[in-house]
Amino acid sequence: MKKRRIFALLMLVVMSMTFFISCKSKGDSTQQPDKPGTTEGATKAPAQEGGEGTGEAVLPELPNNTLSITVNTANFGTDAQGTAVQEEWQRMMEEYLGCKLDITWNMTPWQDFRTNEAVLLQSGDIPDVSTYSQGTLVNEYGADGVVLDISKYTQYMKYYPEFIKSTNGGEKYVFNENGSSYYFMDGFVNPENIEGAQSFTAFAYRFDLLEKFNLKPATTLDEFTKLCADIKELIDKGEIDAKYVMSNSDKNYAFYRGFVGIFHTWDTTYWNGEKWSFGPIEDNFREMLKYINSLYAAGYIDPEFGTDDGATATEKAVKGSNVIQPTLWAGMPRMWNTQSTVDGMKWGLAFLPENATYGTPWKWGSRQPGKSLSNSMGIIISADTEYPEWVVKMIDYQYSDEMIEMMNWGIKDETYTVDASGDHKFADVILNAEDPVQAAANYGIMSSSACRTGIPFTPLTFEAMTEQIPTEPWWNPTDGYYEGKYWHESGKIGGPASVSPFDRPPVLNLTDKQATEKAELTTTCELFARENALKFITGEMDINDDAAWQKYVDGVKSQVSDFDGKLQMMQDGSDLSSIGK
Amino acid sequence: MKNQKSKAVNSKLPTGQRMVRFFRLVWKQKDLLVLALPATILIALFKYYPMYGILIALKDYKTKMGIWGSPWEVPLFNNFIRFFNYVDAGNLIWNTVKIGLVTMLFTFPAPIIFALLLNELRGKIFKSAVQTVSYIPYFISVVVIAGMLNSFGSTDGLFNVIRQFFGLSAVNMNAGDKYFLLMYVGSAVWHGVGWGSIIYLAALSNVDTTLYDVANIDGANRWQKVKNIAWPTIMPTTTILLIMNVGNVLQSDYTKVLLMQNDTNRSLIDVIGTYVYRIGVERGEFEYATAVNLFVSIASLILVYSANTVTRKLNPENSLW
Repeated sequence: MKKRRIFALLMLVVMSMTFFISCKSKGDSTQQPDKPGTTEGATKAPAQEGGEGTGEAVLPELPNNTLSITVNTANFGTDAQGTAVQEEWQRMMEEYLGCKLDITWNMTPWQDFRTNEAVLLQSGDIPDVSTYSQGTLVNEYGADGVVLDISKYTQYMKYYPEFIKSTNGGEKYVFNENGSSYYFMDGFVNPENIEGAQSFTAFAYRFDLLEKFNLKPATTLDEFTKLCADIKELIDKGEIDAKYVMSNSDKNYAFYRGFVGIFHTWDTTYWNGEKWSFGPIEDNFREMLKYINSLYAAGYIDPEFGTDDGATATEKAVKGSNVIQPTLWAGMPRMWNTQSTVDGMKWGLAFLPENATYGTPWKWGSRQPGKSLSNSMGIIISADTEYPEWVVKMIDYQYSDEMIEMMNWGIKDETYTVDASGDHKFADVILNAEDPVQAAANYGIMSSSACRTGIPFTPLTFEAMTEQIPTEPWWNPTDGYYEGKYWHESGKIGGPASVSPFDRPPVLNLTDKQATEKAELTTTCELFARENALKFITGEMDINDDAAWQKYVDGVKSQVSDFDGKLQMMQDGSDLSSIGK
Repeated sequence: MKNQKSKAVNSKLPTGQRMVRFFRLVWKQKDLLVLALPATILIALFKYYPMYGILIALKDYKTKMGIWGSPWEVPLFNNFIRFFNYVDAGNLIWNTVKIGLVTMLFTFPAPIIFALLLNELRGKIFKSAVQTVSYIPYFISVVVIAGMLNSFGSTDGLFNVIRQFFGLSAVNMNAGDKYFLLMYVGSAVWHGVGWGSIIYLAALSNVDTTLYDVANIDGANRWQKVKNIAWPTIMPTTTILLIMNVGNVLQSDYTKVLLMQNDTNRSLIDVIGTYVYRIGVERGEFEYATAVNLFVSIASLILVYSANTVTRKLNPENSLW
């Protein structure tokens, strides 16, 4: 009896506490919309003052002429704080703004930063400024009043509008249908029109072994099949000390990602040149799976391609367990060659082999010429920040030519020089360093990508980025074996024909809720497709069986409600007139 | 009897005097209360206060509006309905139950057996050394353990070296779910057996040593001493921990599952915890993730309550309440 009473009393206390807290929070939340700077009225006011895009609008007075803000950003491998470029960024920014900057930097390792981004946004308690990498998903939080609508502050922007104008789709790309825009988008400067690829556009081969046995990297799919057979024969004879012809570089990347461009498809939702499509249920994708299945059945592929994590896969690559790596990031061959435990090991790259049916393979991640913006990453501002006008002006300045030059090249005459014709060149202290990328990162040069100074993401100059990247062994049918850089070579060899339609999609106007639905379609269906596509590759499911394929397609579609409706939603939200403009 | 008498006397006293008695009692036990205070604050802050957040499972949560200000879902249980309509919900529940039950089946008795075995060791130095070594795995991060499992389970890995030593062929133990439970549960036992045994060793240290003297005089062997002295001593602790463990059946170590997942086994080993991680942390759908987790918590509460009810019927002395 006593126990029951105590239990009842305890429950009463808990329930009372919950009720009390609920009531308290109710009061808090109802007050929130009245905070300055968060209501429409408060943010609209400055927009009525100055002209758009002049950057000359009147700014509110700052206490002690100091802008005190908190910035949330990531550490990309090398800490930006204390570097020469970071100090110069602060000096230039203070000079431009005409005020002191008192910035509290919250730094988090990049992987952790990305993982926790959605949680941070959902908490509603974001710092004044934050690096952002979740694309249009931010619209939902913008509509909820968590993130600042920067479209209401365009009069404080002088340099960003130039990027907007030169991006495919222009204002339609940057602003939502209702005119809002919730983040400064990631910028790129590509004056020399390098239409190279970021990765997944070349296969890696053991050049040392190919040269030894008078073999060549494949230029067509038929040649690739023949090459695999030749290598397998050499392995079986014991002439090549390897276990399998090919393997994967990390279980986190679907093995077929290296092949999708050859078959003119993609591994997730993408613009295929005519419409929005989910790649893994396309006929091209099925054809690709049939081909990879034939490679697997012939014993060319390491059966552990789907289970080896990055560390295990790297260990295999540097120990010479395989001869070809079809799915890999730029820079990996160089890393394997450096870490190699086999004498004379030389991993190198060759552009994707061509499939006669589809022609030039598609490459991934090629940028537009000139100045452009990409909506996948950027910078967000809290709707609660006290001086949004100053913050907008500050971020806008990162898009100015002088700031772009300083952040991408560093300090003039110290980290780079400019010749009479205006060509830039990194100083010997960087180019002659054992690891030029790390040497650049140590100065805080953001084009190294290993250290991002200022408030990332700031515009990246391709010229600076490619100059410091060390060369890797390359091969093409005209030049044979030589040293090259991924961006240059994939652009040169593939040419304009290899620029994939998914890198030049139409402007997509989706509501915040639709953007969330798109994200669900991509992530949920992609996971299902990856697992089942692997079964087709290994033969656990018969890729030639129409019924099995249809069951797989139905399975993909069943992962979300109204799969076809969601694709149609994207189609309806596309501004087709924006393609290539 | 004495308690009942004092209770009867107490209830007859005027309210004022009862209050005085109460505060006297509090003052008398002030040391114990101060000792319990930090834990009470901790539980109130981190266990009870966040319970208010459960409400978002029933809300169309809007960050800026806060939990209370966000509109209610229409229908109210929309997020729960969404989960049960999810095509893989059944698979997730089944995997969670399966992994949880098998894990408990092995990880629960392992520390008990280990503690009983340790208790039988006579050499003090050897006993301490074994005990210390057994604690070490507990301090290894689950990320490191998952990496070790991936490496050991590959065809060139340690597990296959052992297999080949016994004349078995090498297999990719990371593929599919054939070896998943073995690696998952095996590593869980290795990870927690030493640490988990501490509480049982503490209970065993309370055994009246004269019982062993008497048993020796009676000619009891080791097994009889374990069966009739050590085991009854740790029985109440074991029962309470079992009741609490039953509640964890649905709370599998999703971090380890997540790290052990790959394209060959994802759906086969996907559990509610990994699903909640994907929708909550990666996609930021807090209200839906909360609803799914709340479902798990309610199911766990029912399990604990049931386990306690059964225990109370079998042996009221050992039940939690």
